[in-house]
Amino acid sequence: MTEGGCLDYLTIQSVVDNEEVDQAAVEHLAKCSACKEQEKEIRSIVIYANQLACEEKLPAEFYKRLSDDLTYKPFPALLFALLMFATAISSAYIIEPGYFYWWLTVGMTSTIGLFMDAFFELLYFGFNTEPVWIILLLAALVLVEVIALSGIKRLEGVVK
Amino acid sequence: MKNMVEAHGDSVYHLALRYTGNRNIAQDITQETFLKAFKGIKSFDQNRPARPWLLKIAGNLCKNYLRDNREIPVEHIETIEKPDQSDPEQLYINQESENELIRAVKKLPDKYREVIMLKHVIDLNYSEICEVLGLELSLVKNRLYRGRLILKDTLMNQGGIIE
Repeated sequence: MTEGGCLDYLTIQSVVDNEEVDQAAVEHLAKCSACKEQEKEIRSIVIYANQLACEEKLPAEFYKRLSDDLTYKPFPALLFALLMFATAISSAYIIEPGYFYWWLTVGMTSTIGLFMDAFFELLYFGFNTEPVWIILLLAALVLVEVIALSGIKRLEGVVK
Repeated sequence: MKNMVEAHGDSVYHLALRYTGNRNIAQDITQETFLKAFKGIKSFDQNRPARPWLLKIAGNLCKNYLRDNREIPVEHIETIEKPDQSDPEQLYINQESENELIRAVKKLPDKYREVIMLKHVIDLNYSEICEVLGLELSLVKNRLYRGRLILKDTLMNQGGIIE
């Protein structure tokens, strides 16, 4: 209650919202015109805001869609990659065993060499380039990534 | 699981529908809510009511959606079915006043909008709102009151139908 004996606005709001309030407050509200005026004001906005309530039901097939989604188990990506690799290796061995052995020795060494060369080239590039160019290059890469990600986000949508 | 969807699916859907204004997105959010709930059901105390928990998940998903899609014009908000809409003139007036209301609700700051949504869309009582939002009772009452005042001012500035 306020100093003048009237109800505070939160108590009046509780009455309007059918929440639990003191019996004394309800009795006061019944005979106080100032409080009634405030109650009327709150009630008008409550009635208006109640238009937000809706009756629409979820579509009948919603539950089926949900349970389909719950039971769906995607084939593990790693297992799929391993299977592909195993298929490639075994077919290479069956078709041309000689080449397969060559690849396991010379081929693989040269592939690793290629990666190592690329790594050292990058190091060399880093040592011999002004920091400002490296920062600019990184900023450009970040920009490309941001553009690509926002494109993907737009394509995929936000939900799901 | 089916019981949970039957008991609370529509509430979650209504909240999502009012936040997004789009049936397909609202259904996706409802689905996502239940998927998240089923995945996290082990950490949920089964003795507590499920509705506040589900509405909390749904509310967060809706807020994420709105954050990523800041501006949805009211013209793009789909008409939501209401009972007893046989008179076309009354239907038009109702739709206009509902659009005014949605515009005003969209302008509310987040902290007021979430309370207004839970109260007027789902018709939760104060203690349920406290549970969904994890707020004190006095704070919920205050936010509801402030939110309604802002809503009223906004509607009056928009030239809304409120008296």
